[in-house]
Amino acid sequence: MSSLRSKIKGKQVEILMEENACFYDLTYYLNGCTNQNPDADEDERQITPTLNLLNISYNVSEFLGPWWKGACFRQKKQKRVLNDINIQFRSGELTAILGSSGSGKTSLLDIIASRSNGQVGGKVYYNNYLCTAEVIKQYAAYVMQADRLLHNLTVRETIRYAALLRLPGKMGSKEIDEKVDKAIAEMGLKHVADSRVGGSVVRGISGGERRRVTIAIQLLQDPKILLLDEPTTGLDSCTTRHLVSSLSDIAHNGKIVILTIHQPRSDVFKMFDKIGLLSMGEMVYFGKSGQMVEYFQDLGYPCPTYASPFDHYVDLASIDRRNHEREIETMSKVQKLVQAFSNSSINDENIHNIEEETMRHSTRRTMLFFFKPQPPSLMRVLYCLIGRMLVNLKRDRTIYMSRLIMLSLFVPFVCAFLGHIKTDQKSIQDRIGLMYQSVGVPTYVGILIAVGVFPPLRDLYFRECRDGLYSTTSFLLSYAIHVIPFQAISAMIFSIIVYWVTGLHPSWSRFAIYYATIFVLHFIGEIMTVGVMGVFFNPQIANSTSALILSASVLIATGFLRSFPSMLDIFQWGSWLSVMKYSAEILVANEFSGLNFTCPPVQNIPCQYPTGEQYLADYYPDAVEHMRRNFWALGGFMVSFLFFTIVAFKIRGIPNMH
Amino acid sequence: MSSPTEVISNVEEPQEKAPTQTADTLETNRRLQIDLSVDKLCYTVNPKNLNFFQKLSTLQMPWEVTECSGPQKVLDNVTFTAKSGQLLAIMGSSGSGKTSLLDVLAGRITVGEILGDVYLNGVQQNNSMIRSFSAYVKQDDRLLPHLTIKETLMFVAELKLPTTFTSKKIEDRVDSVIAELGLRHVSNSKVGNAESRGVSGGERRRVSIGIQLLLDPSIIFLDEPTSGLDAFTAHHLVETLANMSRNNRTVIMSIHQPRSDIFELFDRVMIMTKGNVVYNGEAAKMVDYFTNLGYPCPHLTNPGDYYIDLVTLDPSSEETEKSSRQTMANLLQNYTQKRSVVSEQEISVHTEEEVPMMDMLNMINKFSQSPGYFRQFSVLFRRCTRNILEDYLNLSAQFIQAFAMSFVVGLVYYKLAYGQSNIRDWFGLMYILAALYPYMVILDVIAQYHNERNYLYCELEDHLYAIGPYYFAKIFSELPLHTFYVIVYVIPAYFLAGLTNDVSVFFQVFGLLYLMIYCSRSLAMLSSAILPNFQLSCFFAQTFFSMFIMSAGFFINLDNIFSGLQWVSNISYLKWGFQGLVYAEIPKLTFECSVNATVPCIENGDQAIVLYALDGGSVLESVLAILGSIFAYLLLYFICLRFIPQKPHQM
Repeated sequence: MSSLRSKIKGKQVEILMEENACFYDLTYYLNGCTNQNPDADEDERQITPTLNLLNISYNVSEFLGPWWKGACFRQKKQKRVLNDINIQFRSGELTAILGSSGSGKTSLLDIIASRSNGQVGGKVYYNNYLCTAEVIKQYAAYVMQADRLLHNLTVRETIRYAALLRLPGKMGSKEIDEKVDKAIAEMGLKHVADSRVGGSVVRGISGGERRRVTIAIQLLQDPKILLLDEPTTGLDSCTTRHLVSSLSDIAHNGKIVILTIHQPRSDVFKMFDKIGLLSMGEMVYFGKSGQMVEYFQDLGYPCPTYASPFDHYVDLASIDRRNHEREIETMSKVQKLVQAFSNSSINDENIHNIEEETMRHSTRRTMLFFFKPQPPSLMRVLYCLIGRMLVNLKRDRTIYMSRLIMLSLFVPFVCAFLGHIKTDQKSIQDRIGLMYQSVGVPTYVGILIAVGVFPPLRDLYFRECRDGLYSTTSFLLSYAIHVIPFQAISAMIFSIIVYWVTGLHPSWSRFAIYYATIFVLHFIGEIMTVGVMGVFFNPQIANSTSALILSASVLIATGFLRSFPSMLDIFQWGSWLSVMKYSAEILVANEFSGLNFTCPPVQNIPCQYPTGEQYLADYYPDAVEHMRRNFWALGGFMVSFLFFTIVAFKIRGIPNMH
Repeated sequence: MSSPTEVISNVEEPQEKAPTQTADTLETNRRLQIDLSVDKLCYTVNPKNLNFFQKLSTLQMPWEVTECSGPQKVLDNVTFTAKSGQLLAIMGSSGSGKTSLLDVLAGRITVGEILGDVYLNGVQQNNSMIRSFSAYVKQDDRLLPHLTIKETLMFVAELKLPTTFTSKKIEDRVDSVIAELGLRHVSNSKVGNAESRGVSGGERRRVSIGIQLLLDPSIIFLDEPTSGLDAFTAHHLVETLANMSRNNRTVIMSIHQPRSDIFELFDRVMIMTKGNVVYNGEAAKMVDYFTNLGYPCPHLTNPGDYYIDLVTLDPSSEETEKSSRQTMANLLQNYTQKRSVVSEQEISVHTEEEVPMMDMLNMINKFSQSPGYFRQFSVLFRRCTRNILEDYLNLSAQFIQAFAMSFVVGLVYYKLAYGQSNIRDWFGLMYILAALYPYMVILDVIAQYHNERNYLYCELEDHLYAIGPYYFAKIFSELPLHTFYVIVYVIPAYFLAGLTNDVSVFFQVFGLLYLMIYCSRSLAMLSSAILPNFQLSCFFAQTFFSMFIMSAGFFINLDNIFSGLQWVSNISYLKWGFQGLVYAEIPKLTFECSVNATVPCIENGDQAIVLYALDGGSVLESVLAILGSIFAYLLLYFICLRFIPQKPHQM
């Protein structure tokens, strides 16, 4: 015992003795880690790990009526999604949960993974230990229905980056590479390891291979339980068969593999070890796949010779909602089936097994340990996130170029009509117009780029944050860091062309001020949109919202379209909150101070402003003196936009994406 | 032969009896029984031969198209016969050529080379002849979401049925189709779409089929009618199709994953792989056929799934790929040998029971009396108006948008003063008014028109109406609401900002904004017709808008605009609008001069206009210039509609 204990100390195992935590069986853990044969131990035979669901029920409350009535005025309706489910999943078995849509399949997986949002009744045991969310994360991996992968990474890169984020911090890069190679080999991805993942635009690997990549990522941590939500949806028959046979191999190597499926084909029937059939949240059948046809035959529902038993029994257990009579008829049939199953010997045996399993272990005195691996360090997470974003960006020529050049594409609009700027009285109008473009265009381009580039990264973040890989802050921070160099370059190209084509105030320091302002606005435009996209998930709405904020603040805060003093007070106060006010003041002061205007004797117009100072005194008093303050304000806005973006993401939370 | 009164009584009767009698409502009294035979049909596509707009509409760069160059054989030597009164299912995995075969038969192919003959009742026919006897139901439902089922069918019936039909007869026909498809209980529900709730997916599919049944065709093609439907609905739909075929119709449908309960409903089955037929015959004999060849169907397996998989290439490993290729070749060879004996007989048999040509010609004549342009226009006008007015959500969104924009602008420029520093504000106000709504309207209109491409393209392909009536119906049906929104847009801003309190000034401002916003609409209509997808159209329209706004005279003084680009300013409707607004409002203003001012003073609006280099115009001139732009855009829009295929693309 003492030698064991020293081993454990060396491995920095945290010892938790709380009642409700799901404890790790020490002997099991050590066996698994050292790949030694288990000591032929005392009176206990070798235990196959099991996952037991006892009396699981699940309720969600949903609001009735239109959303604008608000949460307080709408009626709440309790809806029972799952009712009294008893299942034992055993290691080494591939279990399929069947049912028509709305039967509660996905909710069942959510409950096992502790990701459900409603009220869960009943208990989930791993072996005989009651599981909590914190701990199930260590054992179980959840493969969601949609693949969220970055299109431009290769398969190996995708898995490697995922490994860097997932595997314990102590693991060296050589060890990680080994793990990655193993995962690639296990999922049969060797032949495409260096091909790009691809997506709707870029051609890449096939849909089935993409699904395999998602599974391979979840296998990296060597989970004991693998949950898959509709893994075969959208795949053709060959790919489906191939995928299910891979999953079957994984299961037979000593894992609990559970998948949901709603329209299975007959050819995968034989690959499942156990089958659960759900209807309206109740169990219609759970047992060996081979016994299913026999069971229903005994109940008086034989399966025709040339029909897939899956199709046949899923149909048998679903509700026909086409009209009221059919609905009542099928509903009562399903009730009968549920009743029959709960009285059947198969179900009794199930419950007996579960009880035996959960009772047996608790009598044994074993030291229980909860092993919590060291997560990767913050530096590694940031390094990895930034690296992944950069690789993804570099590969996509369109996005890469648009990050660098898109801002400059607006230069012709700004410059072509204007040409070299003059110094007569009318050129004051041109200069103000140019400043208007200089604050509007970089911000707007920032919005456009963020709308185009950010959504796939965000969706991946949602997925990975759910898996608990990194925090919102590190994700947004690395996004902000990775865009800075590109924005610095594109703002530089833009500034150089605009400045020298139009011939603004020629001096290095003034150019530097102009450039800095353009850069800050470009950056803020992008970060603001990122924040908006954390609130509105639809990119179109995010785009319009950001554009609206931009236009409103240009209108009231710059003074280009409306001068401050005679505006309504509320708008004057509001303008202090906008970055546009400070940047406009900087740009105007930078351009107009020290400028002389000619007064050609034309017509009967008086020459209003012979010097730039006079113009500033009329429209932007004290702008030159406030230059330093305004720059501090710009810096403050950069930081606070980032801060509010993080806050927005935290408050909005992660949607339950399947 | 049945009189109209009998037809009415049909409608009241239970649905099962209806089909047998309602079929007789058309002029010809008796639907022709037509057997369709196809002999050695080949179809080849060469991607190199696409023209410019076809390439553009695949959304690929010119250099990317060449990647898949080389002619591809989509259909290879397809021979089969579909008999009247039978339901024929074409099965095969994706890419096996099912849809292409239906496209070819229904005459929807514009590119590629088609060889082979098609016989109707043993007589060789050309494409237009087949089209007059057949109807094609495409895979996706393209319906106007805000009409009820009955309205949808009524409008199509008015466009499709011959002019000899009275409105009473048209309604009877629609009722009988509704009854035949079992839609009576939902006939007054809205169709709906993804955003707004309506009838269920299966019912929507039935409406699409109903539209094609209005003319009572003898042959019906359906492309994947069951995809996206749940098991019960799919079964029920195929049952309906089987019933339709019993009623002396030839029904041909494609399906890629038939469930066993659906498979039992088929009379005949054809299995395709890579453009070749590997089985064609009675559904019940399919298992025997393959069993004889040494491929029995395992116990508890759906034969449809099993045999489709059998003829699909399994690329999961080299071994399986090789063996599945071998199986395919083997089956193909067996089938070709068998067919060469059978097919000759099949076609020759039918030449004997040839239908008199007179009957055929009668049928053709029936179609020549389709409604004229004016009736098409009036039906489309009513349909467009109805669809706009029923879309409450969009109506209120548009209303709120127009009002909110105007209200905010009005508040920002609330009671605009007349000081020296407000001179720029006055011009700014005119600029904002001239640019804001015209800009907003562009994106809305492009999104709307790209949505409408969904059904426009299909209905034009169906020859439901001509492009001219659609064009005018569209333009005229939108005018009343346009007027309403402009009123909503003008009034709050006008009075909040305190523009000149004068009727003639108000109407000048209103008229100018009305025309400018309409001009934006027509620019947006043009760009949505000229380019294949939403993003490209937006880019196109926004580029023009940006150019026009830069040269409008507010940001850059008109005197200082680069001389080589002065012409842009002259064709910019925004410049003319801005100038017109300035002329309507600003000359009447006098500006205050403070006594101790350090800078010289601009006393009145006329001086300010000279400073902005906008002098020398008039409101009338602006109005004429904008009208010119509107006509130019609308004309171009018509030309684009006429010559560019409006094929929809997913956004």
